[in-house]
Amino acid sequence: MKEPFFLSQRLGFTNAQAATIERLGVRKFLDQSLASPPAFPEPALLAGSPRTRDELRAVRQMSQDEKVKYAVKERVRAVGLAHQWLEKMHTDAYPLREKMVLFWHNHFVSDVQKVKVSYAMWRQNALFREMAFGNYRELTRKILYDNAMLSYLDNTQNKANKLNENLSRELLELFTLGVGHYTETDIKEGARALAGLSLGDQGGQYYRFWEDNTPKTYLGKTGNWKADDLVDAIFEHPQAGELLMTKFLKYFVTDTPTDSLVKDYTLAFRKADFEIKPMLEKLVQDERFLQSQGQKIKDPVSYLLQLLYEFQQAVPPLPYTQAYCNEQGMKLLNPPNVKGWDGGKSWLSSQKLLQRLNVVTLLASGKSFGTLKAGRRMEQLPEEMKAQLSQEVKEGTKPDLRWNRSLTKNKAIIKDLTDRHIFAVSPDLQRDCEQLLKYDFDASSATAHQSVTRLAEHIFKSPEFQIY
Amino acid sequence: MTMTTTRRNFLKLVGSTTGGLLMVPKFLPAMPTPGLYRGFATDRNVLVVIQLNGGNDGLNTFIPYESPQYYDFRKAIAIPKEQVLKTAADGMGWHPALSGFADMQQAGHLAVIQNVGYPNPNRSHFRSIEIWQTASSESEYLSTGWLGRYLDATCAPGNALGALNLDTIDNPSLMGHDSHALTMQDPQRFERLLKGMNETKDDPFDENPNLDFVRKLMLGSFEGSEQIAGALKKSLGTSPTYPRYKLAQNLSWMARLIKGGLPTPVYYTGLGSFDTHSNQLGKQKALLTELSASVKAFYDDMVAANLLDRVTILIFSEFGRRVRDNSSGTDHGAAAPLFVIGGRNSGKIIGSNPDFDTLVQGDLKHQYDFRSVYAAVLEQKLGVDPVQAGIRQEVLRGIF
Repeated sequence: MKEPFFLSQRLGFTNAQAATIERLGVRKFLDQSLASPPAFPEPALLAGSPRTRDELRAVRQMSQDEKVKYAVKERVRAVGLAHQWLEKMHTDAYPLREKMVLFWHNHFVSDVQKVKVSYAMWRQNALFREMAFGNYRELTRKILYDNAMLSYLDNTQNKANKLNENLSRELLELFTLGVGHYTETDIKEGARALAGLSLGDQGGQYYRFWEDNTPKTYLGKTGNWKADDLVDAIFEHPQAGELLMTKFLKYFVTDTPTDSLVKDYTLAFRKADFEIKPMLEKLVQDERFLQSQGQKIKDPVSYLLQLLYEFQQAVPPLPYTQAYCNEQGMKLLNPPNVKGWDGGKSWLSSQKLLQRLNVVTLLASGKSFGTLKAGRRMEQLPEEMKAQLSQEVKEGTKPDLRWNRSLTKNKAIIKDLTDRHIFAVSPDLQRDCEQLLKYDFDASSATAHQSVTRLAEHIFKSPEFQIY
Repeated sequence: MTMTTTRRNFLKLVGSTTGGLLMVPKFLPAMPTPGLYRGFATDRNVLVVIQLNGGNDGLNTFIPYESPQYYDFRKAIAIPKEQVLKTAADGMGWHPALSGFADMQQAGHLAVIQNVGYPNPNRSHFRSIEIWQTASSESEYLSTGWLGRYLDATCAPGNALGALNLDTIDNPSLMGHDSHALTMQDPQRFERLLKGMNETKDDPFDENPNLDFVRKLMLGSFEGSEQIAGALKKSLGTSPTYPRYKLAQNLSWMARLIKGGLPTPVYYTGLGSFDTHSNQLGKQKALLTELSASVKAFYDDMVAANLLDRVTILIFSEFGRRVRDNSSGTDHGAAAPLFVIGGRNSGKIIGSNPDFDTLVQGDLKHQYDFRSVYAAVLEQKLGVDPVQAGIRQEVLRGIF
């Protein structure tokens, strides 16, 4: 791929920023991305989702019937929120921030299915947005006070006389140091430090009645530790930062980062006091990043957004994106477990691959997603989604492939497309393309656009296109 | 081009590829395909369809060299009498490039059905080939192909190997409500990859581990790949040399699968483009040379393997071309000859020689409806009632 396209995909989701990157150069583009404001006003659909303790109590006191109805409403709100987030990823002029929000979502994992309160998920999402390029240590601190996280990892059940270790464990195991750098005792002691930290109106707060105010020994130090102290202790540990940098490199550079690459970035991260911004700056100047085409398998969201962009389509109505994300195993705001999505090869199976190819078929055949027919191609929709279906469905604009229409020769068109989409063009692929768009291709004929669309379809269905 | 239905867009653009390795139907069968058919497919008939794309000029293919009108109408491109291969009877002979066809006819293994077409012929490539493929009338728009319907009626659910299409895009003839047809673009590459997969699972197709992973996934996800691999293995070493044309390669691959016992009843491939509006002499000669050499090699292979009686080859084009030539070629026409090779056909020439006195709008009038030929194939070779494939025309007797 030509570099601007590669960078647009890696520092965003689609090719949409390629022209800007070419114009500004990647450094300036990064600066612009970092400077873009975290603008995502609270969606109207969240009205009705409980936000205060009183409102949450009211839910707990509902009758069984009311609870069922409420749960369905919350579920609808949650998928609505996920859908709006997806739209934002697709339409932002500088999507790097949303890319980082997704990164954090996959690191400090909570899922709405367990949390059950869409407003809380929204607040967490907003936190990630605000601190997208900020400080990892401070974000860790803040996430311990996040209602959704406290709910998700059962800290609401963590009381001095009846400890629940979940949050304490994952804090060490998955969020910061990683297995091998702490003991089971640290987990227990950490749980004591976190006891009594539960949901509040403005986020988490300690409840006197359930706190443990006795000394704890955590990572070698003793004191009446609370959440903030745990974070301080963790980030003084020599291992701090390596786990996150491993994930950072997996996210931006390669599905399989080498030890030396991880070491290098960890060192820099620690030197930068765990600030993300300098790591991004380091990244875009790093040859190992710039030369990393072909080292990542596309996640389902990026894959979908790319195709939508190439066919000049808006994000399809909610039922379709939900069905797609479900089938592909990437439900936004609903990762499979606290470890999040593994990424890389785990995104693909024969079935998932075929589903991806079906998306190409749909778009290339001129069908937009906004029709019932398209909907029937997707898996069974959940009942409550079907109700939404009748409201949401409207005739979308027809998919229309982007290509450089000033080109007339078949080889030039092939090059134009492969430069934008394919990390390495094998002789076989080139041959296929030249068979599909032959030497006698007539750019002025009435079927020229269809011929090029057919060529693009083939390119989008190639194994190479699954990789970037 | 104006499209009157979105389905036409769909048919035009369909091309469900899996990255040049092979194309799979839209739904992969969830159930595994039935076990490998034992033995050769000698107790089953096999149909091989070769579609000449673009409208082959039938008049210069099977030539009425005794007719002065032929030479009158075609001052620019008529094949000189002395060049015509005069092995057929009744003043009909072959284009000089079709020596293979002449030989097959001499051996009694090639039947010609003259003036095949349909009422109210359509001269648009797209529409006419659609009519041939879906076996519709000129005013109907069907979403399934004649062979697709045959496959729907006869294939077990989950059988993805009812038909094998060697081409770069799917063929609407094979499209049914269920998915029983597979399109494969480059059998050599497929075979290479299969070999790679079976021999050493650790040997990567590519240095890039991600690409290796995706390719293997795409290849392995196809249920029938094992059966194909099996048939290819069985027929290894049985292949004579085929000429170096793409059509010949495709046919040689089909031959190996047939000899190797793959239970696929239908094979399909194409050659083209025969759309010779200009420079017809050169273009058609090159294509007919490829056609003749490729089909003859396949024919020889089948004869040697004692399989010719079970293998029926059908060769047609979506229309013939205008009787009167333009300065160096011809425009779209209507009726044209259709060729049947193998399958214990009668070896006859069915129908009258091209009739220049009954031209309709300057084109040859059809004498036989192509669907009656399909009906014959369906009933007498594939063993089904043509109605099951949506064909209501009477069987054209005398082909087999």
